[in-house]
Amino acid sequence: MSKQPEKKEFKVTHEGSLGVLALGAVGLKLWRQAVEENKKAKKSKADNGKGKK
Amino acid sequence: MGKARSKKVLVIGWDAADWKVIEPLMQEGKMPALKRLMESGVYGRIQTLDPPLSPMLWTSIATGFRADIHGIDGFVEPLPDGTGLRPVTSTSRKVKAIWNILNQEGKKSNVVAWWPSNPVEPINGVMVSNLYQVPTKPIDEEWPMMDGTIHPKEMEEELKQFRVHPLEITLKMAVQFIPNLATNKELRKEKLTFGMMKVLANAASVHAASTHLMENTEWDFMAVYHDAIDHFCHLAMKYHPPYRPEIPEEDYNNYKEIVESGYRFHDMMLDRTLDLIDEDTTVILLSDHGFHSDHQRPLYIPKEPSGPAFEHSPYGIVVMSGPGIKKGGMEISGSSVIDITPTLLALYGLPVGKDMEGKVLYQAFEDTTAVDFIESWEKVDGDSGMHDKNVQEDPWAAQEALKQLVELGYIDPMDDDIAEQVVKARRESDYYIARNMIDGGRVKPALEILERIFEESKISRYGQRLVYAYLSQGQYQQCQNLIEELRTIEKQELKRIKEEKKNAKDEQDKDLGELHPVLWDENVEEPMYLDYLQGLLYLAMNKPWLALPLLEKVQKKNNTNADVPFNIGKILNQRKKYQMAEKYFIKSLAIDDRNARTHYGLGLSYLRRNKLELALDELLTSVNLNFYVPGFHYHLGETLVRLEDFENAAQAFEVAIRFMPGMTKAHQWLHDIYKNKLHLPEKAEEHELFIQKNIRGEMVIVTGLPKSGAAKVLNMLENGGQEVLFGKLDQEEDVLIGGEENLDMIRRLSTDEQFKADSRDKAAKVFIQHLSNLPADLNYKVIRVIRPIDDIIFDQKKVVQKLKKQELPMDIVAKLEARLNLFNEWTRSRPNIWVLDLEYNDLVEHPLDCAGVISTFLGKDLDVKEMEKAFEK
Repeated sequence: MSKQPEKKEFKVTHEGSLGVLALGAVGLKLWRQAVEENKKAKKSKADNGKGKK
Repeated sequence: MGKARSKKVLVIGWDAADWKVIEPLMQEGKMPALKRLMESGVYGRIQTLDPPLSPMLWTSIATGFRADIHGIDGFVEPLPDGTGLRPVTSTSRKVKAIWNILNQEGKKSNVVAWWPSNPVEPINGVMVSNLYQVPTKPIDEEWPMMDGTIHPKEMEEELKQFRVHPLEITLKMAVQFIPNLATNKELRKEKLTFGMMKVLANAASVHAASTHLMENTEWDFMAVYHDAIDHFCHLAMKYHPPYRPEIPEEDYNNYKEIVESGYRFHDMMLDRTLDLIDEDTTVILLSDHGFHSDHQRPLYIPKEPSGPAFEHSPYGIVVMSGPGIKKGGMEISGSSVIDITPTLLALYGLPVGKDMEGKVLYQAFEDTTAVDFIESWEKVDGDSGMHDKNVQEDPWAAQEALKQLVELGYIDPMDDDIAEQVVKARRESDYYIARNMIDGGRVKPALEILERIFEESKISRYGQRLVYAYLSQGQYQQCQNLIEELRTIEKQELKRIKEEKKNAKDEQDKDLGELHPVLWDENVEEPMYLDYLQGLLYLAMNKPWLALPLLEKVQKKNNTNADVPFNIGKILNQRKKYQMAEKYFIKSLAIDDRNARTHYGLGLSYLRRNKLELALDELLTSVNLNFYVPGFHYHLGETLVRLEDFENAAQAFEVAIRFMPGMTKAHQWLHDIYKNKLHLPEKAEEHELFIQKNIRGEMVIVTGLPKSGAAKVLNMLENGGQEVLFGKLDQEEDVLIGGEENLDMIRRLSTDEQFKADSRDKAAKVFIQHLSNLPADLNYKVIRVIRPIDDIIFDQKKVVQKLKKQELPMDIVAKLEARLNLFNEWTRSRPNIWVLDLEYNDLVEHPLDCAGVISTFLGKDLDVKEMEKAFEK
């Protein structure tokens, strides 16, 4: 069957999306990675905030 | 081994997917992947099996057998130690699934989430069970992988990571289904919101596992099953547009996008899946049944096991694309879910088991060479990767899945009395098996099951099924008795419910309205299905004058059942009131426009009223919806002849005889068309020879006990335009004189070839005691006139007095009954006899209706008005 000519690239954020879930295993891994990074970033931000105090 | 049409096949199951939802979405460009798949291959509707219950159906899809053979007979099964119930397991499957057959043939399979596939089977490949995606723990706790979820076990860790917990679903994902979640925080606490998240998470888990396996394993066969469309629909189809006034507007506004978003998400998953296959892969995407999405959506879901299945519709979807499959987006018809395994075997070039009920869907194939058959795959030894007989599944693992089934309403919550609950579940499974048997045409064994479970439980829906079964077997007396019994049961039930309602009003119990639909109407005395069943019984007993008022009464009260106006239309067609019949067929089509027999009925009405173009449209639609009914093609042919389109007419008749080679009238038409219109003498001769050699002549026989009115019926037939061979003379007959003249004529049929040839399509009156002397090589359509024996004796006495003969013997009743037994023996002894019973009193009181019944039975367009007059004389 004919396939779509091109696929759009998109950024995977911690919020995820149906598009990410629809990518299956690959999308799920990327999304969870983004969630982890976001957690880390939040933690680091919080830690930095504490340091400033 | 035959020639393989394809090297690899991917089967994708979308439970409950329905074209009625898909078509508008596709028109708006919202399901592009499915559209591409359709356009590159073939697509069509696929007929479900009854009952439309998913574990049974997906096992039929994977095995080619019905439930009584494959062994998966419902949603639950008793625990091996009898201490409770558990969701049905793969260990209950008694036959090989397609992946077991392929295993024996050295092929590798991946099977993901098939229902039921827990515990997983040790196949050559990977199996992920249907409990894989079901969360058993809160999100902050370890979510263990239960034993029996993954084969091979060493892949457990790898696949564990692809499970999505419902609470992982983010707001950004959820608002695609419930947009108001963005602003309405209260809505986030709603049960339905969580239900939606759970279904979405399950689908994402199954999809992630399957895409991982597609990318990282070698396989020859892959099957992935998604239950999410079914679950989204059960959650929210009532809120799907168009809006219905019975639904709270606020709920409608909150949840109206769940179903659409569910479908669109599946299309997105499909897009990704198709990206991961190679050019050697054939794809089959199908659903096991449809889901009512329009005015047929029930407003009331019965509070009974499998009640939600009332929302299911009988046709699902099937799309096939890739190597071996025709290209270009052609629509195929006549597919059934039971055809999938034979079709898969044909794709792999493997023989089909003769014991499989389904057929190969050749119409989807580029190469339509016939496949090979073997007796049974069950008899073929080899490593099938099936369970060891002693394997038992861990019941604890199944508890969450059981809970989910309770939440969806498929099964009742467990009673305190577990033993009673197990008995009830067993009975319910027997009920499903009986329905499945009836659906497959095996009514007799189903009758025994239904009689037993109804006797044990007196549950009215078992009784209703039993009524239909009796009807189909012509057991009218049992049917009538059962309707009476159901009437009593329902009256008691109604009394109980009304009492409950009275009490509930006092307690301001607003939910009680969901208990039973009769509560919506204070004046209901009994459920209207009883009138409907009684109407159908009268119809089957050839008493349309009694059936019609009952069906009309039901029609007035309930305009959501397409069968009611259909049956009224059928009666009116029989009465040759075609214009009125059309109105009812149109009413029926307004409820369900995909019913082939209703389009056929309407087409027939138009044909008889000479509205040929309209008839053509309707008959073509009926053929498109169900290609396999010879009568549809026959009347399509007749319409085309009258439109002078002889080439297409010949084609239609040819199709009719392909399905029913003995259809004499179609051969006669073909002979006539080829000889006189298309000038193809060779073909004409072919049909003439066929008729002479292969088609037995058919005679119309009118019979009955002496003085039962058979001679009058023969006169009636003649007046209607039926040619009569003998028996016209209404000779005085009595129980003592055997009718020697009548016997002579019958004997001549066996000795005089010319006389026998002349008898084709003609009618004769035959004394009941002479029937067995009729030649065995003819077909007989027999009209038996029934009259009470007392009335016959009364008239016989008059004959005896008139002829001044001896008195009637003392044992006259026994003698007459013996003759009736002779009739029964004769009809039972031969397969080529079709009987219409008519009561003398009905003939006297309703001659026009009886004339219509006779005309329909004979399949002839007799002049019923003239027939009526003849009888009145």
